[in-house]
Amino acid sequence: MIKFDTSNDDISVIVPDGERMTATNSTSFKEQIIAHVDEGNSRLVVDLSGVSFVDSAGLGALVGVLKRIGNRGDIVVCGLADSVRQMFELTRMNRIFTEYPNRAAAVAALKDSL
Amino acid sequence: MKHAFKLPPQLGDVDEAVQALRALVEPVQGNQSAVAFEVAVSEALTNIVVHGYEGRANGSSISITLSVTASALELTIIDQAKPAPAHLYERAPLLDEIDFMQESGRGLALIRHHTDKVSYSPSSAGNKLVLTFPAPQTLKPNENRKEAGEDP
Repeated sequence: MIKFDTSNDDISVIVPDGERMTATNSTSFKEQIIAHVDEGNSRLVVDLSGVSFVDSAGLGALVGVLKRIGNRGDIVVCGLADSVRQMFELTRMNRIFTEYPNRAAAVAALKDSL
Repeated sequence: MKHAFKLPPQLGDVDEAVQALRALVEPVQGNQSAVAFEVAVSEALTNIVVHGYEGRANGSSISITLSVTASALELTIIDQAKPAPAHLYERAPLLDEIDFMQESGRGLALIRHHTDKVSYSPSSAGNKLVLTFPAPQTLKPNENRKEAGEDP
């Protein structure tokens, strides 16, 4: 079960459960976040500081959430480990997901963009 | 060094197998190469379990053999799943050819990117996939030790 922190105005911070975002858990991850988006939460920070490995299914889940949000909001990522950042760069996900060094910086940036 | 494993064709077991394989490779290849190895192996095993076995959790185990020598790092995967097209891996796209907004389809491109060679032989006797990675000796001098976090 992923964690949602909604204490920052209308910004939700999402913390994946576990150190790996793979085909094993990506469907559940995507479904939980999409349900959250469908409840009206469309400004999301995905805090990946506890994640050490992301595979193509994990990336696909993030893209699926991004598509669901569409023009209604934004989704950014923070706390990427080097190995995760390499995956983002290799698959060019860094061009569609803005990265911040930590949760505070990501939340501040989303607040500023209001 | 040679290691052989049996993996049940269940998605829930893939992560653990991938991490075990990486743990064997990292001391030899270093962290950077181990990350590439982990990505490719994870994508390959996930593809076989998801598309080959299609949730048939009671299917025959997948045989995995890791061979590490001074000249080659090879992972051989033999499964009894539904065969994939013979040229699946040869026709894998490049990562740059994949649309940003695609939710799937990056797995084969990642395997292609991270391997030196991919050989696939579908057969009713067992489908054989061999992933060949850059050999330990192709790393720069001392790179292995430094990346493994050992003192110079």
